[in-house]
Amino acid sequence: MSTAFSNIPLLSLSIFLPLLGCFFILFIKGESEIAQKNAKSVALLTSMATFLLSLILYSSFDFTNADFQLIEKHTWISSFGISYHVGIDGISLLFILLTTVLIPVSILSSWKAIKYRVQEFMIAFLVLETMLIGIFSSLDFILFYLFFEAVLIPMFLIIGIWGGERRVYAAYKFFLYTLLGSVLMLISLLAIYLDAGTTDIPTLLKHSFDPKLQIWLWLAFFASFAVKIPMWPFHTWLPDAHVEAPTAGSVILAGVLLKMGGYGFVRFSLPMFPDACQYFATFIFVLSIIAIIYTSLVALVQDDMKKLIAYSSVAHMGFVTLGLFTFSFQGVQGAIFQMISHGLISGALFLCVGVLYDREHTRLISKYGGLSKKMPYFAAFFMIFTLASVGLPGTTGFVGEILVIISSFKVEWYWALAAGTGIILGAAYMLYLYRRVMFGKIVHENLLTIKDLTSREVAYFVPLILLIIGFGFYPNPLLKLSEAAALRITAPYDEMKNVIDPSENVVEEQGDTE
Amino acid sequence: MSWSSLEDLQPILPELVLTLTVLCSLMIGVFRKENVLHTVSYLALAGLAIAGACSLIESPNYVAKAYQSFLITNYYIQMVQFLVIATTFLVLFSTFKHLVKDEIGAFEYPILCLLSCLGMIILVSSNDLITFFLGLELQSLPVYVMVAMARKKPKVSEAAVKYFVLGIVATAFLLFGSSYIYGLTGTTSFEGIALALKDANILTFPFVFAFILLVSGLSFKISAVPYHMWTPDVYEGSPTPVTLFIASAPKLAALAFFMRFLFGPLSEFMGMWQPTIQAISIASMVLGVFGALYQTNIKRLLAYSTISHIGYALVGVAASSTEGVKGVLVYITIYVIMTLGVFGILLNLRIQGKMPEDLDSLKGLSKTYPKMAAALGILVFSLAGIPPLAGFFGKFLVFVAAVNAGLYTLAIIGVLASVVGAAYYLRIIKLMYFDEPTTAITGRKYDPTPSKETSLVVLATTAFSFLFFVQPDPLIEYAEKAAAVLFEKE
Repeated sequence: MSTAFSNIPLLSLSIFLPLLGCFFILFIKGESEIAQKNAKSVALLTSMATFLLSLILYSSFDFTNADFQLIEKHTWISSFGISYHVGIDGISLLFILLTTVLIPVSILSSWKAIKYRVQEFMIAFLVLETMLIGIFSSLDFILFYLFFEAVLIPMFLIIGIWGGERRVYAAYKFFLYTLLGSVLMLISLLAIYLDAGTTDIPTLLKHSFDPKLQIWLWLAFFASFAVKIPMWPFHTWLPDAHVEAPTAGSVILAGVLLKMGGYGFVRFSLPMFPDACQYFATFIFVLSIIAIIYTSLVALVQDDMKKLIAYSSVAHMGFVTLGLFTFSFQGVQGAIFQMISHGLISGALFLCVGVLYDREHTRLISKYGGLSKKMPYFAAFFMIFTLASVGLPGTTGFVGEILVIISSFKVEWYWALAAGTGIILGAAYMLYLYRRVMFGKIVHENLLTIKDLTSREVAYFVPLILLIIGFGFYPNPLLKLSEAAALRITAPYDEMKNVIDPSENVVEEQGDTE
Repeated sequence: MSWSSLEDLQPILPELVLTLTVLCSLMIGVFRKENVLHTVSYLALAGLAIAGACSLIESPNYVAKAYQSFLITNYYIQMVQFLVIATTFLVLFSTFKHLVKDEIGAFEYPILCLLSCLGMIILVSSNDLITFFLGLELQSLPVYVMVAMARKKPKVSEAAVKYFVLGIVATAFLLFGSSYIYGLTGTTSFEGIALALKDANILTFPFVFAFILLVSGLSFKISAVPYHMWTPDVYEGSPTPVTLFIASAPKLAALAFFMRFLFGPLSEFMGMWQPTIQAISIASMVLGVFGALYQTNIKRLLAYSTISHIGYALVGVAASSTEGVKGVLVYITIYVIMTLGVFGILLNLRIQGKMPEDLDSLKGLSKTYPKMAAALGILVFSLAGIPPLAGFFGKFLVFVAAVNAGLYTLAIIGVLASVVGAAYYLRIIKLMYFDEPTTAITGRKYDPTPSKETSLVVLATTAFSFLFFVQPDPLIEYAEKAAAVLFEKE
């Protein structure tokens, strides 16, 4: 398979194909309905084409190989030895697939919801897609940073132009918070460049940094990724941004943008700064556990649906950081799986809120109730997503969380206990939300005429459901994809462990061959 | 004229061309009756174009001195001269159709521009305290006149007086400092000074005093903190074409000379001036970004933005390495290009011939003038240094140099300041894209026929800011070679 496409720069094509769509939309003038429809269609077609392209990426990918594949390298800024260097491993590919799945879904979801400046909206989304695929496939640090920060521009505009009432505040907060994190990362990138003499990621992954330097670099990276993912207490921008963003914006924000932080940890912090990672592991555990329990409690008392899901995102991301910093194969695999799963589930939940918001123009839970009678299809879909978010076995939510809990149990039993408590709380707030919105009597008269899902809405829910349940029952394809890369990342940690404590060797190996 | 003095003419070809153009323009201006302004402007533009061509780079190891080493030219100087001339050209090109509207439509205006430009290139190539002073004054005096030309406007007199008085003080500083240097070393030539400073252990009070005076005077010219106070007032009070002029070419020339001075005669005293430059840099960055936060006037905002950008450029100077100089050159070039674009847009936004200077007048610009708003949006994001736009690369280069020189504190303060800076740049985006056009604005429509020349400059500068990332190598390599020349020991 890999030979068939070997001459085509597949990866660059998938990165820049969305920009081609932008180019066409630029020529669509006017606010007329036809113009808007054309813009939407172009955007949808482009994103679908990108999705197909990402499937080709998948098919030409060699699972068994832990190295970066589909590599393209061209000189870019020669005086610094910076090159346009892209390539993917299993982890990157997973996130690229997540992006290319969610972008068409978001475009479809904003078909009716976005009523003005449709062309600009579609351009912003396609630009965003380019940036995101770029982030996940960059193999040069500067290139990565370029994409990583450039994401801020389209997202700032998406929140600020098409957002809700306090959109300006939310957009500013989002932009400045994340910028603050990233500029510190820039400084540490420069320090890395100084230390290693290159910005080439595959080379840097093999470079060993001085443990003292690692601490500083790790902290700077942490500043960026912890804000992005977001970890408690750096999460405060998230509820604001989510609440004010348009539905499609929230979907991408929760679905992909948060994963940039997790991806950063997996791709850079873990392999490059092993000593610092172990030094800070307990610190991360504590923050993760606080995130899981505290934000779950906060979610429990929200009266805004979007805010509730936003807080739940913080809690779910707590599992990701918990899993990553166990440094075990299971934990890393679980964390990656959890990110993909959360991308699908939270995206779907935001879409559910969007469905209600499009009809009633409010996100307050108290304005709903008893919808299950009027919207049976919606009730069913919403139920599935709610349960997936809770982590019901048979959905992707379960697989990620159980892997993370097992791996954290191997570190210390109490981490697992705390994380488990989080799952219970998760069930509490999600089911409580579902009960208040869907069950009971219809109190508000305007809900009597509410319409069930349209075929367009079904069209974007069905693929998500199929993915969530499909990979919930049979997670192997996803796990296999990231397996080689995860092993590569955890192998040095296992070695370190063996040196320190050979008695745990047996347990670890059992875990690895599971 | 002897043969040897003819040889002297070759290094000063750009200066000669400009002088001749000035003289011709004056004659034409005096004797021609109709349409003088445009004729003179075109002539001036042509003169600048030829001078620019004359200053085109020879080879990296080209060095020539003229007039008993009063003037020197080499790769670095040629690059800066070319940039200065090109900037002046673009400034004049984008403003000359606006001069009448801004009440500075006298034919002397382009001539003053040329004279100032002449001063700048003399300053850049000066190799002696006397030519340095001559160039600096020739650069400044025409600008004082340019600021004062629209004397009927209420704020202009204030700006002109402020600029003039403070400028004269700076000049006095420079003169005083120069005289001390002369007294200590017994020579005015830069090479002589460098030699004298190398020999004697001269770190005495008079020398430090002279150093402080010189740095203060030059800081005034680049409007670095604490000599920045004139900037917002002069930016606001001057007619916009003049503001654009002040904001662009003189900054470039003065900064380029500043570096020549620090890395030339004063290179032995790096230990002394490096902390000073660091302090100035930090102060400029911080004050610039915080000062801009609460401005309501576009030009004042841009003034503070200039101050902070000068601070960033000085980060590269403080690094005091080839890399740093390279960064500064790239940074200041990109800064000038972005400034040209932003001011071009402001020049073209007119309501009944007048430029609305209120930030709020940008409200809803994306609805009324989507293309203009998009261009300003790109330029503003670029000024904020958000990748992948050009402004990011400027910052990247100076910060690389700072980190390489071990100046972590400076770099960290710099990036943190840039986050604050982003806040006020975002305000412009917010006004244009998030806000609706207010009723007060919709009542006043923007004039439909802006200058085509200005639009062209805006288009070019926006395209540059947007697409710089595709091929950043040429400019960086160019700057690298120029920077290397500066560090060559003679």
